[in-house]
Amino acid sequence: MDQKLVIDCQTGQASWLDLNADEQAALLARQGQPDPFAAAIAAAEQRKADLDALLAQFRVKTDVQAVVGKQPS
Amino acid sequence: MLRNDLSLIDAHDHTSGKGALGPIVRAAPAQILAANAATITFSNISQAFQHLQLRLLSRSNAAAAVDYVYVQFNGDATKANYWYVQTRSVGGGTPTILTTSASDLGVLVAEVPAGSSEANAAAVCTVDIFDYARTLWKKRVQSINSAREGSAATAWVQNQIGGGWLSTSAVTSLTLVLLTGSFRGDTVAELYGVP
Repeated sequence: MDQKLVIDCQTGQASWLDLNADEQAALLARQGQPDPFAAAIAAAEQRKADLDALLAQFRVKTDVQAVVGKQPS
Repeated sequence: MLRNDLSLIDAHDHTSGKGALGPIVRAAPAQILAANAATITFSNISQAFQHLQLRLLSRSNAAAAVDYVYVQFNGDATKANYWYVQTRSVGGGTPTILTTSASDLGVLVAEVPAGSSEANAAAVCTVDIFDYARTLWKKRVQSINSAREGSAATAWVQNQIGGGWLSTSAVTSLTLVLLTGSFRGDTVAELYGVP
């Protein structure tokens, strides 16, 4: 049985208690589930990569236009 | 004149002690866990402070590289009552702003190494809980967290998280819970009161 720690701030007493049935079931249900942040982090990194690629294209375009004396459109 | 100046600075409630000039103090004895704990609860929190500050040094025993710490208020497990937004930075990378989210576990406050992370690496976080005892504002939380989850720079993480509990009730208990694992023994958990 897993345990939880409860600290009473009025008395300063710390107590180790067994999880009740509901708490134990909730803990088991959470174990092994996929990382919920992985997809969000991957999506954010992909957005950044897309923006970096777009910025790189813009830089090439403005560099070429500077050489031929044209203003960027 | 001097007294007037001081009264402006020391504009606190002399009855409750809130807002008084003075150091922050422990609201409960510091806890260094003697064993793994599924949750850590600070109960019967004194209402005598203006703000609370939680400090945590920890690691999860989950069978993964990373786990996440949440703070639940007064035992409320209603997902709709919590919100947070997170800015996550890693070594050598550009910060990513993750979308606002909510969980029935509470407010996200930290990312911590877990079972398959670098040995003996722990995460730290400092969580401020503002004006927790008054019943005017919905409760606000702000956390700074850093973690080393491996030897590569991309596994050195820093999070800045803002969030809250959508209740005006006074906060009387805080429960720390991990998304998937238990807090490893030797975790250090401290709750401070800010006058």
